[in-house]
Amino acid sequence: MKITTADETLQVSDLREFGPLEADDLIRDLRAALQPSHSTVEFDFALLRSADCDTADALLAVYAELDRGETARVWRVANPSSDLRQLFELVRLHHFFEITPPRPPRMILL
Amino acid sequence: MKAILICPGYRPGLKHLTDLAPVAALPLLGESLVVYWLVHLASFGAREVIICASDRPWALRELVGSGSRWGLQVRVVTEMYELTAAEARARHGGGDGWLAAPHDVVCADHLPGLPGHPLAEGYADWYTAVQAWCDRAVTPDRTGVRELAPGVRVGWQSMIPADAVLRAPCWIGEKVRVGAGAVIGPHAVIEDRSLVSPGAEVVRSIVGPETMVGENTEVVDSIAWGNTLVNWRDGSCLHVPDEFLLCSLREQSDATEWFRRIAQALTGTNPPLVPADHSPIANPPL
Repeated sequence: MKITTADETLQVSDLREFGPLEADDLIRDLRAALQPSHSTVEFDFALLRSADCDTADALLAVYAELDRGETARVWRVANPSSDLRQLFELVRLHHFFEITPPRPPRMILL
Repeated sequence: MKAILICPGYRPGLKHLTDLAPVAALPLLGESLVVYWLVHLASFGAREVIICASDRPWALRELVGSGSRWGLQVRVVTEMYELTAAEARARHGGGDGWLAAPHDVVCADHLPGLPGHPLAEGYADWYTAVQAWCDRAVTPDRTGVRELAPGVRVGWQSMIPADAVLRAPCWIGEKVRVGAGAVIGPHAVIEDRSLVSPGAEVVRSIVGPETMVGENTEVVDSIAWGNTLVNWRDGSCLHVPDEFLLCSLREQSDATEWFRRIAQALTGTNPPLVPADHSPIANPPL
């Protein structure tokens, strides 16, 4: 997992696994890295190997923990596979996260 | 009068649905394409129908039987590929007593009266054709479908709580259970014996038969069939890994039956399938 800043975007990339365990670490790291100047938090799921409801749950936990509604911050899911996008939409995560169009190759869902 | 009905062959554009059944046998507003066509041909005066099927003809044979349900004599013949009308006429036609052309040979790649809506080419076509068919699906041989409000049709024995929101147009099949606060429609179809859990939302989508849509989920622009979720706009497909989000009730009930039998076997209460004296099992008195 890698956290980088580009302009006003805080990007989380290199996410190969993402579940409750990773969410705890991510919340801690993001809390340290997140500045008021960051208008966007982006999760790059290009490398995610597998996903199920735990993935959605973990992502929602990060959002719920870090978004206090103080700033109009954009939360974005970038490069999801088409089936990951469908899963996120099924559990209504697209109401909290802006989801970019899916990347072409499929990933394996557990 | 006689007629020939050519059923669509295997269509890769509907792969995730046609893996379950041939196009002509897929449930569509409670019936199937082949049944709608038989009703249509019967209304035109046909009494004998030859069904040419290249994709799993046994499934169609099982579905239509002898055709007596529609006052027809139906014969399903196996073909190696999907015949053209001319080929079907040459192979099975001849003699007198045929419906006037073009009704003598019908290619069932669309619903009766909707030639502008081919339904077997892709998921978007299937969705569009099903929506267009909603107004015509209550064929003369069907009973039990009520129109609760303009454009809101509900089949018999379905249970809908007072706080569920039904937005026209929508179709809710037979024996469907809708949970509290669920939203169905607009442009939604819930096929027979499905369950839409409390708080779930189904919009511009089709929920297949015996499918459970999980609590508070949102099914939009999709065809949900068992645990398969297909986005009909872009064709992307997800096999939902979590049963509480989306699953087939049929598989669950099979599993339940299996566990019941195992439990009965372990506790020694499993009734024998054949009695000791090998006499047929009589139905217990009601």
